[in-house]
Order: sequence, then structure tokens, then C-alpha cells
Amino acid sequence: MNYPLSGFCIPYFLALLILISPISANAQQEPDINRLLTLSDLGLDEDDGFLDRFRRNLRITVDIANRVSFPDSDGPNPAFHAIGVDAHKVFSNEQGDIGTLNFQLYLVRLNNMAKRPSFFEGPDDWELTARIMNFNYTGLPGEGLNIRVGHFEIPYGLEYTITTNGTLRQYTSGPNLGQKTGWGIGLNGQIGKFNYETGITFGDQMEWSNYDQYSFSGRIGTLPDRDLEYGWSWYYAENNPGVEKRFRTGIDALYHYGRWTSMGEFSYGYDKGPDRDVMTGLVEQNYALSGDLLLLYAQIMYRGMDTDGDSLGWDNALSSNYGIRLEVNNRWALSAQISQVLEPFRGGEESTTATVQTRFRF
Amino acid sequence: MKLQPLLLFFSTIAVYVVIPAWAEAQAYCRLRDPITQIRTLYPESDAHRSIVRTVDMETRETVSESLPFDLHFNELGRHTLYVAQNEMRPLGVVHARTEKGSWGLIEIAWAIDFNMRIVGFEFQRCRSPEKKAVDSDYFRELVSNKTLDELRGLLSEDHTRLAVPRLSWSDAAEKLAVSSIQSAMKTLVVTENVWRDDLPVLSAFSNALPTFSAAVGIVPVNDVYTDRTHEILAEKDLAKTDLGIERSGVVVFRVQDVENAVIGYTVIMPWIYEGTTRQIVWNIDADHRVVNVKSATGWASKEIQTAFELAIGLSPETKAEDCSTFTQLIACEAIVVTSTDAGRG
Repeated sequence: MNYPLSGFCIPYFLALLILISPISANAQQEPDINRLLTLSDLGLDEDDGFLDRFRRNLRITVDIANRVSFPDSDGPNPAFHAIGVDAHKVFSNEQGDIGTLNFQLYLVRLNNMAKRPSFFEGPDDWELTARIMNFNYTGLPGEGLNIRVGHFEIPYGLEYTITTNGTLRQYTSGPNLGQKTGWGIGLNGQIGKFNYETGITFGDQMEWSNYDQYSFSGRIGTLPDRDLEYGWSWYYAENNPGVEKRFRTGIDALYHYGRWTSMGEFSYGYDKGPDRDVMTGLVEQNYALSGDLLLLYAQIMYRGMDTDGDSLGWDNALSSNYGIRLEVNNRWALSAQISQVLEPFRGGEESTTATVQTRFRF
Repeated sequence: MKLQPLLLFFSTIAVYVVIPAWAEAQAYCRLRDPITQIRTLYPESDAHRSIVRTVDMETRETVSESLPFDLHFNELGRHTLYVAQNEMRPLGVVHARTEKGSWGLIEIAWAIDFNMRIVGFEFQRCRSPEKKAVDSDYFRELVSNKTLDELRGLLSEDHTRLAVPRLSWSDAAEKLAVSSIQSAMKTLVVTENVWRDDLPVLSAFSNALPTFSAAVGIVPVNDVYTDRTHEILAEKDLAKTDLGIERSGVVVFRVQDVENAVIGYTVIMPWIYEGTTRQIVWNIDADHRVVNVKSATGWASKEIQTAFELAIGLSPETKAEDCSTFTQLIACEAIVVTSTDAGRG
């Protein structure tokens, strides 16, 4: 069993001990009629103790997801189980908000998962995984410059604008870039009618100790409150697993009209070692019902590679996803997706896989 | 199976047991501050502050008692009130609410002042083709500076139609306008209920900071009309004089600096004039001299404003017989309540 976060486990456990310690428990106090109130006291009640101060501006939820796939091939059904904590806390001082902490830590169990992220050791494995775990410092004047430190999503394409955290519905970042997240530091902000995010990550998705392996990426896009949103992204990495260098650049757009949303992204780039040109594209059409509690979507994804040195030309692959997500209430979400490899890469096979997922947050 | 993951798993559950949790179906990493909307609604703001509190069943009951429509269960949970600030001075608040519309969810960010009036709105999301009609100067003026009761007056008795001219709007546009007004009403009730402890503090800072720039904290004076206060009012012949002051609603804050020294007072005084209650805000210095006066709800007329401003400079030495206007007598009462502040060290 591998613990890429082994250096994190001990301080994590200690932090939890402090939180549940009777020392930090909320002690009832007599209200002080001469209590001085400052702007920093907003959100607190008169008799709040240390634990309540920690809980101020905090959202925290336990998140449990179970996912089972039914491929059309023989063999056991791959399954994915996750339980974890999703927390969001805003920090403020006398001047106002100065930062936001996003903390998502999940214990994941894979069963029979032949295709899996590289940080899992085998098809049957436990891992403690950091999804989003970073602090975004927003205390600098204006909205143009914030500093993010920790584990964050690689800012690239539709994956950045649409939340795919723990969902069946995904975009092209994973197969296109080889990573969706990383440990590092980044800048983000809003300038006029555009927002931007850029970051440098070190190591692979979960380990941060390998400084030879890094990526530099970013996205500039329109603000998310318009019917038409679009953006431009870039990604450069060295010593990713399987490649010496990787470069991508892409555009993405989405358009809302009524209950319908159309979106797409296209990316072009190259890998070195092995040397090849790479193209990736995706289009999606979705329809939301009943106050967005029910979402239906259809995706077509294209991937193409032209490897230098062979005379075979472009090797193209086409796949599709058709899915449904139902938010039963603000705790339960049920999802199902049918994924098809319509045209495989050379040597591959067509396939169809159905996947269902239940997710419970409380 | 190694012990470590199990320890981490169960300790995570233990954290949940200790820390209250309110779920949302989607991950929290999708939360974004409505910075654009805050800056648009309060153009003079240079920062904002978040106050996250829980919209619970008690709030739901309050909404259903005050309004003919409910909060859906999906609307319960942790929500954020954004305080727009300029150089630390609170300007007003922004609260975003989501309504179901014919074209999907409608998300509206409402700007509210400290007298619980809607002062503006911005759509965060609205896919309706009728959005242009509602996102118009006419509708904005219709809902601006409105209290809950005034918003209620914009709707028919059953709250399903507009009670005001709808111009050349279609039925769908009217429906969207009605949903928006209902959203505003819900937002006012929820904000006043959930953030009831924070709003008076914000109001006090908003009123105190422009006058007392060294202020770092305020202390609410719990006992405003003490026995001593009544004695002095009687001595000044103010005890029985009906000046229109709603004494039960008078709120006083002691304003203190970084060394905890009292540098002044902010007195918020409901005053009934011609059937309307207005919030008169007095800023009085540590020597109990009137520094300035304003109406948080707007002056009834220029003449009333001028009359109140004649009180600037009045001090505890001012006698009732020296006052030439009833507004100066009101100022004398505001001075008395600060000079008899029993909690002052």
C-alpha cells in the first residue's frame, strides 16, 4: 500500500485531535454586556469559544461516493469507493476577506480497476488522496491578483470551468495532459471582463517531492456570468510519466440558451520522448430540468496522435459519453453514464461500458 | 490491511461528529464570490467580507409566517452574506438567492442596506429570453429602495401578478418579474432573520467610521434609558414632551479606539414624522457634543434636514429653553442618553 501523502498523515491526524480535544471545546460563557465588538467578530455569537471561532465561515461535509462499471467484456466489474471530507473556510481580518481554504481529503478504494490513475499501485488498492487542497490568498488590493498555494486543479479547458470533482462527467484534461491536479503555487484574479489562473506544479498529481517533474499552465477566460463563455489555455510540462516534455494549447467555449448548454474544447500540442503531435477535442450538449436537479448530457471526444518516425500518419480515436445526473435533494446525487469507444486507437478495441454512481453528502 | 487508513477514516468521521455540517449536493470547490456583482452594486467598495451562517428550519418557519411562499428544503444550509466595504466601512450587504424559473435556475444577487431595503440587484444567472425586460431601468427603479412591505405592494394580493404597470411585457416577462420580486422578499426575510446579530453591528460601524476614523470597536449600550437618564430628561423638561422618538427602539453604541478609550457614540433613533418612521443617526463625541446627524432612511425634506443640522455643536450644557426647534430638543435627548451611559468605565 502506498501513501503518497505519508508526510501529511501525521499533521492531519494531529489537527483532527486538536479539533475534537476537550481543550478546544466550546465552553459556555456568561455574555459580557460590555463586550467590545470589532469587524473581526462578525459571524460569531456572544458566547462562542475557540471551536466556534474555527467554525466561523466554515462549510464542512462528509462525502461518500460509490461507483460500479459494467463493461461489455468478460471479467469482474471495476468499482470505486470514496469517503472523505470536503471543507471550505473563508478567512477574514479587519480589512475584510483575505483568503479561502478548500480542503478535500478522500480515502479511496479501487476494486478490479485496470484503468486507473498512476498513483494507485494496482487494480485493488487503497489510497488517501487530496483532491482540492489549497489556500487562495485574496488579501491583496483589488481583484486582479490572488495567490494560491497547495493542491489545485490544473487550469486548462472546460475542466476548469465545470466542476467535475468526483463526478462521472469528465472532460479532456486527464487524457490530454496526463494530470488533472498538482501540488504547487499559482496566481489568479479578475481583470476587467476576464478572469485568469496560472500555476506551476511539481511532482505528479499526488507527490510533490519530485522537482524535476513540473508543469506550467494557465487559462484566461471570460467571466462565468454570461450566456457565452470562452477561454484560452496553455500547458507545458517536463518529465511527466511516459513523456520527457509535453506542450498543449487550447480553446474552449460554452453557450447557454434556456435549459440547453452547448460546449466544446479543442487542444493541439506535442509530446517529446516519444515525439508526436497530439490533438484533442470534445463537444457536449446538455439539458437541465427541474431547477437543474436533473442533467442530461451527451459528449463526443476526439483524440489524435501523429508519431514522428512512423509512416502511419494520424492515429485517431473517437469516443462518446451519454449520461444523466439526478440531485435527489441537497444530500443525494445519482448518476449513470454509458461510455463507448467508437473508434479505437490502432490496436485497440471498440467497447461499451455502463457506470452508475451514488453520492451522499452530509 | 494497515491500521493507518482506518485511523484516518474514523478520525474524519469523529471530526464530523464534533463539527456541525450542512450538506450541499455539489463540491465546495465550485463556490465563487460574486465579486463582479458586489463591485457593480457598490461601485465605491474596495473590499468585501463574508459572513457564513446557517439557514435552518427556524428560518424556514419565519419565512412561511411572513410570506405566502416557503423556502424549499434545498435552500437550507450554509449561506454567505457579503458585506461590501470601503476602507473598512461597511456600505451594505449582498445576498444571492436562487429561484426556480421556467428556464432553469435564476440566481440573483440582492444589495440590501442596513435599514433592510433593497437597493439594487444583479442577475448572476438567468437563461430566460425575457431577462432583458426585467434587467431594465424600469424594473430596477421599481424594486430599488423598497422595504419588504413596499415590495409586497408591487404584487397582487395572491402574489402571482404585478400590481404595477407591466408596460408591454409578455406574460413570461411578468412571471419572471414576479419571481424576482418574490426572491427579493425572501432575501430580506432570510437576511434579517439569519444575520440578525451581525446587521446592527455593521450598521453601527457604517455610521460611526466616517466620523470616528480611529474606531476599532463598538460596544452596544444595553441599558439606554436608565433611571438617571429619565431624571435628567425630567430636569430638562424632555421627559413628557412628545418629540416623536420611539424610545423603545433607540440603540446606542459606544465607539472605542485601539486603546479601548471611548472616542464617541453613535445613537440610532427611530423618529416618527408624518406617519413615517425614519432612522436618525447621531454621532456624538466623547465630550457628548453633537458632531453630525443624518437620516439613514432619507430626509423627509430639505427643511427637515436643515432643522436637524442646526443641532450640530449642541452639548450637555444646552438647556431646553435654548433650543429654538424641536429637532434641537431631539438632539438634547440623544446627548442625555450618551452622557448617562452607565456601562462606561
